[in-house]
Amino acid sequence: MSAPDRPGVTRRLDTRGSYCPRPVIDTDKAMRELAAGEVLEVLADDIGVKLDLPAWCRAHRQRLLAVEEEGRLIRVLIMKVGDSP
Amino acid sequence: MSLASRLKEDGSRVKAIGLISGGLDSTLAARVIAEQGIAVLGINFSTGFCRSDHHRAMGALGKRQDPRRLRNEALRAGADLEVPVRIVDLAEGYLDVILRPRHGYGANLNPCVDCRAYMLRAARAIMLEEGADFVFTGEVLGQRPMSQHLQAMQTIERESGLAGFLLRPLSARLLAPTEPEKRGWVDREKLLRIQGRTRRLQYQLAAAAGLDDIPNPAGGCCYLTDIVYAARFADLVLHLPAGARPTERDILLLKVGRHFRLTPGLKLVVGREEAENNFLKHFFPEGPFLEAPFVSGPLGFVHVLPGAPTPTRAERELMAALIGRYGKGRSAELLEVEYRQGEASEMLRVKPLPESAPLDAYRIKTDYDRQAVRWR
Repeated sequence: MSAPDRPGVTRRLDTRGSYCPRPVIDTDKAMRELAAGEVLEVLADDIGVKLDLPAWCRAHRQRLLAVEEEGRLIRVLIMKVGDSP
Repeated sequence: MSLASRLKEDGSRVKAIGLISGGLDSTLAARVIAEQGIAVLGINFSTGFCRSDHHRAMGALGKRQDPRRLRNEALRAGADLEVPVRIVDLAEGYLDVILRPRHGYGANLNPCVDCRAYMLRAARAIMLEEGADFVFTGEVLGQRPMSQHLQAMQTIERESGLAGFLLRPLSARLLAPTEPEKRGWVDREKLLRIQGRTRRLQYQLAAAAGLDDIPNPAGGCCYLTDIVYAARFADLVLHLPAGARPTERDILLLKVGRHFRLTPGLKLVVGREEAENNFLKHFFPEGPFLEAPFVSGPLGFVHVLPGAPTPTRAERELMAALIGRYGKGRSAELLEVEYRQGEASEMLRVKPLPESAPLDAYRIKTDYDRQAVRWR
């Protein structure tokens, strides 16, 4: 996990090169380390994350801010609302 | 789901850990428990032998990207039920379960009883870490021949360290009451009494609950139940040098292509479709690869075991002829096939093996000695 360079982002998680379910496992772990109101930026090239991370947000009741694509790069922004129920 | 929370004697909310694959049974089991106002944390274990993970990777690498093929069903179930699902990597240590099963194998190399006990031991550790009160699964009495008959379910419960704290909500009323039921954390009357292989009742319950997007059950998710995959795994294990164990990449390679064992240390893997060719390039970029560059056809990946000699010229030509058999150049008198590894490249000119040529000597045998695998 690296320091973010995007405004509003607290942490960046670069999962590029890894495939399901690794990006979700790493996102889950990173989100547990954030405080409420902080934002995680996930970078990925596994297109499965376009479905998995929105589903993860719904299941864990966290706020999905954006899913963006630039060529093969997928960028997902998630705000931590609180601990999972 | 918005329900009154179910509380314990001390006023805290009852919390359960559920094993959720996203299939019909585990989804229903989670719903039955969550409907009682119990806080559920779903756990989905990843062992490296899950078919659905591989199908998703193949779906991502293929031309047609079907969303239903790409999604993770456990997460989808969690989202539908509004239940958090955590995916947990259980691959480390799982080889010992396969190679040292106390209760043996099912039809192929599937160590179902040991596998369930292993997963439930991991679930118990999460239960303790999370301060949860019990663990539940979607197991149904009599549904699977090896791991879901009464005696096996009792063995699994005992070996998991969860005796009394493992609930099977779909069959609970056919089983002895568990501690969560005895202590009033779970209302036994709202649990089910399903048994047997048919899933008619589960489908009816799912439809009534509005759960209409659950994948069809397809005999389980585990590659080790597959006769071809299990034979490839056995072939790998039995050809590894003494003391060596399969690596994560070795296990990955067994999931794609046609496999030909040419010598004890040398195997050729031939992609069967574009997604498999892409898979080989993506996960094994170092090669060596074989490919006919001027006609369309498969990619071949050359797998040399640790300590084995690099392929001889004759072996490279044999592999090139095999590759030629599966491409558009199969009827050519002389086909050019490139053998490349990193920057190095060699052009081989071979006559493709005719379709009538017997390949039995190279195919992976399915009549391997399972006991020899078991104690490697």
